[in-house]
Amino acid sequence: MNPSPDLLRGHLDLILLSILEARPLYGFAIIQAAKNRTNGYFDFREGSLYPALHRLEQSGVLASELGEAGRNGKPRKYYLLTEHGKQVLAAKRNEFESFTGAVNSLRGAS
Amino acid sequence: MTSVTAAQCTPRLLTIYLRRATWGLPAARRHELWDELEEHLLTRADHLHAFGTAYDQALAQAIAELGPPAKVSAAMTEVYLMPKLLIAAATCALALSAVFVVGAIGKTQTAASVFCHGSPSFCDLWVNLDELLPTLKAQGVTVKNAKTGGGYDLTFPGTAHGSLTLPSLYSGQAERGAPVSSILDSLQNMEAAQISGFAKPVFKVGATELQLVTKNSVPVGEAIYQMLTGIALSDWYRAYSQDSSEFSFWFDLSPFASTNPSLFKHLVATGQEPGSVMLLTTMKAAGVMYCAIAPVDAKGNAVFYLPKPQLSFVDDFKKITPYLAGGRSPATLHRFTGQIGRSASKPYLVLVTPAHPTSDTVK
Repeated sequence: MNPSPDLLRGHLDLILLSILEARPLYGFAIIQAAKNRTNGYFDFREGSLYPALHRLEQSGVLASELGEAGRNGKPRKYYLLTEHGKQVLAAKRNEFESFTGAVNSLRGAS
Repeated sequence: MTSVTAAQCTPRLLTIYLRRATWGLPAARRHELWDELEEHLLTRADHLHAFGTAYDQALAQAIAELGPPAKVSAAMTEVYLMPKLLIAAATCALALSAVFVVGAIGKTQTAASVFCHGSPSFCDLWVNLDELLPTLKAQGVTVKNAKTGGGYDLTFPGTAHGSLTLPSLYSGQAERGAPVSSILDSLQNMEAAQISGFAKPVFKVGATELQLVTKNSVPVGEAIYQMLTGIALSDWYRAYSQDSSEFSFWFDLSPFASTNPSLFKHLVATGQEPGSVMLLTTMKAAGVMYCAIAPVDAKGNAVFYLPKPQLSFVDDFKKITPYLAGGRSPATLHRFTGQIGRSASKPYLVLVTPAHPTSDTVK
């Protein structure tokens, strides 16, 4: 079962930063990586990816650099984590783990 | 099997989508996003094509997966342009989004229903093809399947060059739909194409008339005139601008503008015939043109909501700057001519001189 759109939207930054932690990627490759590394669980179907990438770049969490030519003959835009982005990712991970830990601790509670 | 690669094929459908998805952004950002989305769509289409999907269908599916272009442009606008107050207004507008509306048959024209995706403040209108095509056929329009692209070739009676290709796309619902922006884009190739009316606009091509109606609050006419304004401003910018990095334009549909506390109401005596549709432009900020559209009432007035409280009308687009002159923001007033088809002798907009050279906000 795929996550609900609300759940995906709520954690989009964490998902994107986690994917880009390993290496810089361009938009389409990010979607493929999300799909492949989660066996299809994260399947971005809306045009929410690019606005999110641009937003993260504007806020200094991501930087970008041009790579090889893509299918339209123009350089692909690769996104990479900045130092600030690494700190943001660590903070978001802590926050997420605290949250899921708290939810798990409620299981079976009466 | 003939192999078609992305490099060989840049279909019109792709251009339509990219134009709409990047609409309103500053030029540099628009080019950047255009390249990024184009690369994405062509790569995805190639993947699907490699697994046996016909290339045209593969591209249509890639576009469908990326979602409505208005949603992309609205989200990108939030990133680059939208002040916080307007974000709040658009968020409120989202509550009214994704409305399906049903058409009604008028007395003199046949109607097709229109539906809207995304926030109405960035409305992306769609026509249901299962209603549109029979409506056109009943008026003598010849409808054939297009040889490529999965759309339809339409031939209109009573026009010298009266054919266009209409794309068939996903609608986000179960219906087959065509975005009104793509219909407008196609109609631009037909010099005879015209539009009239505001609340229930009528497209006219030769002897064929099509009225678009909604039963909800989506101001369909205003949204269509917004699209026309976007085309006209883009043409103007390409023709006259020396600076390719900083220019964008901004609209708020009037139902949302009228409740936006950051906008000022202006009652402008236009000196135009009742029923005319007017465009008022001023500069929202450096490089950001603000556009408001309104019909002329029985007294010759039109109500606009603008980010500036005091206006001074000028006689040239190029005189619009973000700087005050005598405490007033420069503005221009234009009338839509009703022309949709591209024509060297018939512009989309004509500059008009209002009855008073200035305007102050009213309650």
